[in-house]
Amino acid sequence: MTLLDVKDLYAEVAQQQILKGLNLKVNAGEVHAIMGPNGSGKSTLANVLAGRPGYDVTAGDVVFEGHSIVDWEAHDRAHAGVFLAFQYPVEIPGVSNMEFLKASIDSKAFANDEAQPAAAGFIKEVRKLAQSLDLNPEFLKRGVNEGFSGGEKKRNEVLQLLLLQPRLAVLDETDSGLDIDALQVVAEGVNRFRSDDNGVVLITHYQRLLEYIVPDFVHVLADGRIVQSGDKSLALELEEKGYAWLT
Amino acid sequence: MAHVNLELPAAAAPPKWFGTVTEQSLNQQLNGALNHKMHRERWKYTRVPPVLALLKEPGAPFETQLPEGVTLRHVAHDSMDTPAQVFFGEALAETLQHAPEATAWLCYQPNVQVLDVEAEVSEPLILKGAALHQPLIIRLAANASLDLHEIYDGNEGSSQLQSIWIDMQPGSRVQHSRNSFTTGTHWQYLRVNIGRDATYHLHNHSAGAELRRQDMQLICAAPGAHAEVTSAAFIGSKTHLDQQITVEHRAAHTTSEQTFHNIAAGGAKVTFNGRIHIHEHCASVDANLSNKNLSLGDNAVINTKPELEIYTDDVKCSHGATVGSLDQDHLFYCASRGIAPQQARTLLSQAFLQVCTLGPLAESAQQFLQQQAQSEVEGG
Repeated sequence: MTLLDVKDLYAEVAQQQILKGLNLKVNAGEVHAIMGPNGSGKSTLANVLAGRPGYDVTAGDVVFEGHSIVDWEAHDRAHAGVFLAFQYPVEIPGVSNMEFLKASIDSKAFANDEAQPAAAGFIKEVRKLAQSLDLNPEFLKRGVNEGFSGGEKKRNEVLQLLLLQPRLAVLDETDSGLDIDALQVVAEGVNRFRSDDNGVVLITHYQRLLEYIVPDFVHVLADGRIVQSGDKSLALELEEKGYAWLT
Repeated sequence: MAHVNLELPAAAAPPKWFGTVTEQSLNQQLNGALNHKMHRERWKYTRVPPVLALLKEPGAPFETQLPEGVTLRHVAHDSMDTPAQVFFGEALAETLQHAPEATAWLCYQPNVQVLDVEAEVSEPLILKGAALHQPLIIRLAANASLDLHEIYDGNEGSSQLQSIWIDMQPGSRVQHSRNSFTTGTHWQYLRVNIGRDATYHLHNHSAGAELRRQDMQLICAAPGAHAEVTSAAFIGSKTHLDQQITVEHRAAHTTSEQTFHNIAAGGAKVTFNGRIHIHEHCASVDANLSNKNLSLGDNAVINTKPELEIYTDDVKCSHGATVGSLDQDHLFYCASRGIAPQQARTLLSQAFLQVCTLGPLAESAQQFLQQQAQSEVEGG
């Protein structure tokens, strides 16, 4: 079943064309790794998929579960099941992590006409999830990402991923800034999320993340379009040869 | 601003405990201070006449239950016992230069209330009610401590005035929490003299009103003195708040920390003027001031002026002010998790105030301020 179908997508940021005819199809149960040199458009793709204001689609289409979502607002995409794990998660002092998570899950439940979880059970579940990601549950009382280390922020992103259970997870350089232990914890969390019902778009610079999250497909993005696709062996080839031979 | 010659109501007779100043000299000095360019600058964005009009009215004593360890007395004009030497007597000229209205209020009222705190007081002293209150002088003995709560809430539109003078002896501690949520004309004057190793902390929570003016003068008078202010305010549509705060470091090895967060709704008018003044020969002072303002709608007027006045080299000092709207990155982060724009704006506005809503009255303050923010966002 096709979850995501990106069709000949052109997108610009601040009137600069970044994506130039990108095609990508993700089926349920698949993990697609997107690799590419700096400035190739990887993060732009992530933001366009999530519906970030200022990232304008100028041509082509993004179809998610049969619906064109290019005109949908970010929160509507989230309700439908699109999730972006940020490369640089923001800090929001004054909104506790727990409050933020409850607001997120309640919003999604409300939009999908589902029952909102009871507070007590929800808190218990979140604390359990935090522990499983080696994240101190006491941090849940703090402001969103407030005072978190880089690794803790990324683990918090994965916590949200596991809690919200989206249909499509777009992970934007989730491995950046992580030491090897944190990388393993984050990868383990993403692997726990993987199922036959959902899909993952994994954006990364380095092959090392793919040792822990084994992709079904690897794509090379260069100058706003995918120039090469293959299986996980392509990542090893890139590690050895770099990107220059493809661009 | 058109120049208006400001005059205090006539017959401001000085209490005997002011010292040797004559009535004529006092009135000259008060009116001189009132028309001084520095004073006019401090009142640039708030009309003085409504406040001067309040001074003509009779004041009422605070009606409060005194916790154990606090004694109350009324000091009349003819008393020879100066209730707070640090503000009057030889210090009178400086006091009235900085605070002519508050000094005049002392003269117009037949009594001042004096609270003596001799030891650690476990129960809070609670001041409440909408009124023009007689001046209140609180004196803390060495190593005494007091939790002071001021609560002005409800939809009372009547005029209010509080003038509170606190003298803190060495090692004493005051935790002062103040919720000012009434809607009429409200002037609040506060002057605190912080002695050696004494700590004063104000948790200030406010809403806009027809006119709300808050003057605060905190003086770190001896080594080890520490002053701290955290302040959160929501200034609703067509309401007003003017905060004027001066922290003076008059001794070496003193510290201060001030954080003010204000949200201005469309059509609101908010003024913040914060000044850190470090006197000569006051080395190793550490003083910080931050004022952040969030505009939620069109036509909000925000004036902010953080100032430093430093006369000693070896000090650590920072000040800053920001004026802006909600952070787009924060809004997108919320949206990416399914939180719709209106709910996100409410959540982020409430969070902006919450970080400065602290202390024993925080819960009721949060409830009030969050409701205000929610109404504004949803109404807008």
